[in-house]
Amino acid sequence: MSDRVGTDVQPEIDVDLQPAEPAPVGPPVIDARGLEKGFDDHVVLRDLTLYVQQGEIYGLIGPSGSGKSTAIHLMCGHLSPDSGAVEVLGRDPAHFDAKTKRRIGYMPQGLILNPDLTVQQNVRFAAGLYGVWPWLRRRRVRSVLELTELWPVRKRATRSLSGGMQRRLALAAALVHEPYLLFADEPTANLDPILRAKLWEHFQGMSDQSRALLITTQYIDEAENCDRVGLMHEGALIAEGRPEELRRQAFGGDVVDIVVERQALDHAQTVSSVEGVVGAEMPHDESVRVTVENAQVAIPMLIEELEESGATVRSVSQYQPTFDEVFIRLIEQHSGEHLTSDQLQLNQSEGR
Amino acid sequence: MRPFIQTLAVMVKELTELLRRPLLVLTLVLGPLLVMILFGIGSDATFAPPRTLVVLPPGEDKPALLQRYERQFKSSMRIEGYTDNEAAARERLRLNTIDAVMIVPPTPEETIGQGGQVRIQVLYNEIDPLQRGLVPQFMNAMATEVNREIFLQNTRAQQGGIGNATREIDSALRTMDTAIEAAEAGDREGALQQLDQARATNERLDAYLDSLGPEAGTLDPLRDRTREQLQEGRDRLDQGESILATPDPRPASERFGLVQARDNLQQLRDSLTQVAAVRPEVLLSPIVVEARYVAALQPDLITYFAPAMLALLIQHTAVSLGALGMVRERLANTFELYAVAPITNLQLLIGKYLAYILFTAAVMGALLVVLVGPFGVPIIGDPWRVALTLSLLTLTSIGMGFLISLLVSSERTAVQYAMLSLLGIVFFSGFALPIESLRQPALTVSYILPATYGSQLLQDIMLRGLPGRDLYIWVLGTLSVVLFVACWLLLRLRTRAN
Repeated sequence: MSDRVGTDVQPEIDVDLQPAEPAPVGPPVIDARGLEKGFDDHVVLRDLTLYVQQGEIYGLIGPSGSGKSTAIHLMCGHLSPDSGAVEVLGRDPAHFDAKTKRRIGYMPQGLILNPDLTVQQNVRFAAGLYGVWPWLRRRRVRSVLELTELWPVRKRATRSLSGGMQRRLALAAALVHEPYLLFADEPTANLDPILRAKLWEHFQGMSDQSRALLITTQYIDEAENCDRVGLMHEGALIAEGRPEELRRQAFGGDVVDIVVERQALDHAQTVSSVEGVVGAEMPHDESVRVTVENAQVAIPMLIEELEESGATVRSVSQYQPTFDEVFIRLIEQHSGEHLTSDQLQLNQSEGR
Repeated sequence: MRPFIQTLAVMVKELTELLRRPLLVLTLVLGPLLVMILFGIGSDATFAPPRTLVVLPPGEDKPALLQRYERQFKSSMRIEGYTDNEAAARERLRLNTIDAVMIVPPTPEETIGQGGQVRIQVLYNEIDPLQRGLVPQFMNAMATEVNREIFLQNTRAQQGGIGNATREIDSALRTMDTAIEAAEAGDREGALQQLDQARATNERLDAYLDSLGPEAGTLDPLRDRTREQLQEGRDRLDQGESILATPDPRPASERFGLVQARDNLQQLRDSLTQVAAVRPEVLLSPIVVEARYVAALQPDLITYFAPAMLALLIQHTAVSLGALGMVRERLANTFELYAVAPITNLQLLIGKYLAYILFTAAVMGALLVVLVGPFGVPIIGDPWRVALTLSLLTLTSIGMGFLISLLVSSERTAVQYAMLSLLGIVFFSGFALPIESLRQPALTVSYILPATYGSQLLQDIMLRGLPGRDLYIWVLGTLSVVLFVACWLLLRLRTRAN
C-alpha cells in the first residue's frame, strides 16, 4: 500500500523535505562491535556492529531467525559472543554488577515467569527480584499492569492467559523496576493495534525520559516509531539508520511521482537526463516515478524538462514507500534475489 | 537491604508457588503419611503360626499325644485339619493353601512308653526368605514345649517313688542299728539275722531306685557301695571267729563293717532326700535365663516407627519439593530471568532454601503434633536436640533435592529420582530392615541417605532419652554444607553465559 501525499492540481507540489536530524552524541548505552555467534556449525549472527544512544529507541527488524533475539541475548549477557565485543552501560555483559543489572529491563520472546503464579504475583516477584522497595512496589505493580491492560486479570493464573496476555505480562515484569535500558524482544507481537499504539506511546515516553530501548519486531511498519532501525537478515545487519534514511537507502534517493496528461510520450526517457535523477519508470501511461538524489533540488528541473517536452504536469508528489517495500527492497539488494514478504516472514501490522 | 529484599522475594515466590499447588503438596506429604499410619494401625508386627495339616497313619485316630498336648500344639501352629492322605496334604502344600504338613508316626505314645524317640516330620515350602525359618522355629518351639510337659510329668511321678525308697532305707537303718547292737552284745546270730533283713530291704530299695529312671543315676555309686558293704558285713559275720580272734581295738560292730554299711545307708538316704527336694523344673532346666526389659519406654509399633517415619517423610518431602523446585524453573526458562536480574546465585539459593525450610518446618510441626498428640509418641530426650536433628535433616534433604533438580533435564526424571530416594529410605535407612542386617554395597547407600542418620538420632533422642551420636550430627551437618556448596556451584554453571 503506497502512501501518496498531494492532490491533483496544476501542478501541485507536495513534498515533505526536512533536513536530517543530527546523530545523537555522547557515550553509547549499547556499543556492539563485530559480534559473531554460532551454535554448533550454524552461524546465527555475523559481524553485528551497532550502538544505541541514551534516550534512543532502536528497532531491530528482520524476519524470524534473522538473529535479533541472539543479539539481545548477547547484550544481556545470556550468551557470550564467539568474537567481537559488546559494552552495555559501559560494561561487558558477562561481568555486569548488580547495579548495572538493576538499570536494565529484559523482556524475552518466551514466557520466563512462573505459570502457576497469578499475574500480580509474577510482577510483584519481578519487582522484588530487582530490589524495588516494598513501599514502592504496590504502586509500580499496579502502574505497569494498567499500562499493559492486565489489571482486571491480575488474579488470574498466568498459565490461563492467552499468548498475547502473557507477552504483556512479560513486558509489565520488565518495566516494573523502571529500567534505564529496556531490551524487549517483540513486545507487541499478537497485540491488538490499539494496545500496540499505547505501548509505543509508553516507549516514546521512556525515550523522552532519556531511557534507551532496544526493541525487536517483525512488524516492519513499527520501524517508524523507532529513532533508528537496524534491518537484520540471515544473521547480518544489512541496513541501519533513521527510518527516512532507510527509505532513501532502499530506493537510492527520494522518490517523486509526477502525473502528466496522457500523451504518447516516453516521460521516463525525458526526465532521465535531468541532473540528480537516479532512475525513472512509468508505472502507468499518465505518471512517471522518478528517483532523485534530492527532491527539493530536482523537482523544479523535472517540471521544467517535462513541460519543455510538451507534457502537461498535473501534480507532483513525494512517494512514501511502505517499510514493507523498503525492507524487501533492501533485502533483495543485499541477497540479489527477488523476495516477497511471505518468503521473508515479515509481518505487516493491521490497522496502521 | 536490597539483597535482603531480593532474597525475600525469592522465598515468598517459592512459598506462594507451593501454596498454589495444594494437590502436589497433599500428594507428596499426606500420601506417605496416611500409608504409614494405616500400616501402623493395621499391623501388630507379629507372624501368624503356620497353617498346618496333620497327617495321621492310616486307620489311626487322633493320637492321645496330640489331644493331651493340644494347647502346646495350637500355640505353635494353626491346625487346618487331620488326614491320612499324605499325598493330598503334600499337594495342598504345593498349592500354598497351607503352610506346613506334619506327619505323625504310628502309635507315638507306645514308642515313648518303650523308651523310644518319636520323630515327627514337618514339610513346608515357604519362599519368603524372611519367613522361611519361621516354620521350623514354630515347630521346634512346639516340640520343646511338649517335651518339657512330658518330662515334668514323668519326673513328678518318679519323685513320688523316692518316698517309698526312703521308707525302705529307714527300715534298713533300723535293722542295721539292731544288728550293730547284737554284734556289740556278741550275738553274732542275731546280727546275721538283722543283716540279712537289711539286705532284703536293700534289694527292695534297688527296685524302687531303678524305677526312678535315669534321673536317679547319680545315686548309683552309693547304691553299689551300700550293696557291697552289706555283702561284706555278712561275709565278716560268717567269718566271726577268725575276725574276733584278730587283735583290733575297734568295737565288734565296726570290725564286722556293720557301722560302715549303716553310714553308707545313711548317706544314700541323705542323697535321696536331696533328689526329692529338687523341683522337676530345676532338673529339666538347671539354668534359666531371666530377661528383664529395662528401657524407659516400651514402645508399640507406631511409637517405635514414628521417629523413622518422621525422618522418612521429611527427607521425602524436602527432596521431592527441591527436585521439582529448580527443574521446573529451568524448563520454564525462569533461569533466564535470574541471569539478567540483579540477584546473585547465592541469594537465589538462600531464598529457595529459606522457603523450603519454612515449608518443611510447617510440615514437620504438623507431623509432630499428630504424632505426639493423637498417637502419643513421647519425646523423652532433649527437645532442642530433636529440633537440631530435624533442622539438619531438612537442610540436607533440600540440598539433595536441589542437586537432583540441577542435574536432571525433565520434571519426570526429577520425580523418578525423588521416588528412588524414597525407596532408598524404605530399604536402606533402617526403616524396613535393621542396618545391622545390611552388607556392602547396601551399607554405603544407607550412609549416603540423610534419613539413616535422622531416624537413628530421632529414635535415640525421642524414645531412649539419649542425646544421640554426635558423629551423626556432624555427618548431617557436613552433608548439608557439602550439598549447599555443590548446588551453588551447579547453579552458577546453569546460569552462566554460553
